[in-house]
Amino acid sequence: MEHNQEHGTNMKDAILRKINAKELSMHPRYYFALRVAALVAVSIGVLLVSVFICNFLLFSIRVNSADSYLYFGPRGWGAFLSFFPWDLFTIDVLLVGTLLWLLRQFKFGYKSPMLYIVLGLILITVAAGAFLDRATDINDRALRAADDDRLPGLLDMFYGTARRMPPPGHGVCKCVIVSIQNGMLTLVDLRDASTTFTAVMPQDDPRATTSGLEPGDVIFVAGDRGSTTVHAFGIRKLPEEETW
Amino acid sequence: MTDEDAARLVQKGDRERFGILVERYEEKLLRYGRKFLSRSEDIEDIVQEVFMSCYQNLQSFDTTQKFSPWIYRIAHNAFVNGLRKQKRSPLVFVDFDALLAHPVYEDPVPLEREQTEVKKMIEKCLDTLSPKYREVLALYYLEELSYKEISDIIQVPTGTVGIRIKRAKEALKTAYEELNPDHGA
Repeated sequence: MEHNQEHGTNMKDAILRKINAKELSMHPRYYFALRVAALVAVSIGVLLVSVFICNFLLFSIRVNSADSYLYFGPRGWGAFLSFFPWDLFTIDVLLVGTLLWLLRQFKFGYKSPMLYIVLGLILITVAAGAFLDRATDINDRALRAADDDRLPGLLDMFYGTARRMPPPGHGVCKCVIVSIQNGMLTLVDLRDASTTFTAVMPQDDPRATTSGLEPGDVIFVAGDRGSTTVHAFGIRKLPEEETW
Repeated sequence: MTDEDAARLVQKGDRERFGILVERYEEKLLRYGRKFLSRSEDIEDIVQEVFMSCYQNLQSFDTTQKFSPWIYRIAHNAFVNGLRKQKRSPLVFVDFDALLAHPVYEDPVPLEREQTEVKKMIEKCLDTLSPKYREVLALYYLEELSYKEISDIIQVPTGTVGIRIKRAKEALKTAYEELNPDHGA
């Protein structure tokens, strides 16, 4: 007891000595206000970057019509997984993780179960990303600006490489039909108008048929490509808004 | 004078009043540290650092709130760092207890008999539990803080505090029965 009292006095005296000698001082109130403001600003910044990446990921699928692969059965699904921009997805997952950590610095962040916050963040990011891609034309305008070399460096890094080649062994993507003869299509690749080739259809496969197609249509073709032919395993006529 | 009054005066420049807070909390924090860290070396140094950090950050304390959860929160962070230095606890980012919502069933006031029994078990077997269980038992049964206060200190949902205390009590009982086989009979 005596020891405790002595020990207590020692610690109290030691701390008061430091305070009085000005070796220990209080941070001013504005220091904490600035810290909270910085935390809020960084959180908002990370959220915005996360929404942008998610928006660009969805745009990357749309601009390459990669969702067409999903209509082509198991082989198409495999191609979709190969094409999926996993690098962007990984960055977005890391950003959501960072945001989760930042939000847990606030009271509402640690008072709510982590799973709810994670699901909330995913919902907000995907919904805002999808809204930007589908309900506004900012991606389309940015792509045109990138085509005209009018985008600044970082944005150009995204939009300048938005149109991607299909995964190896999985086709030719967007083409215009030049002619249809004997169940064979003569096509021009939209990415390279100088390349003309022929698409050979499998027999009786509803996923790769010429029915309903006419010259001038823009189609998405997936298949094994040779030098002048492609053996298609899937063909999909693209809707008007995806033909650029 | 309440802790909050003393803190308010220190905020306004009456530095000597900080001594009151040191006197009131030193023993409590040392006891909390001994239970949490389970090894007593360095605890006095850590508690001194807690008071220094408390003084530096006192302007961020809202004097309309209770002072004790605030200083225990600082102590919790310091002890967690102490544990990391001891390398007895791996750094876990995902806390699975805090992943889902758990309903809160807080005992209104734990029965005196139960409380005495748990305190006896804590004295004998607390060291056998993992730090996250040691901490909630120490805060609830020894420091007599509420679930809500513990939730603010360790920054997990209140339901998670409840589930952690329940699991800690079960683990403590198992450890106690292993040490005292006649107890359960």
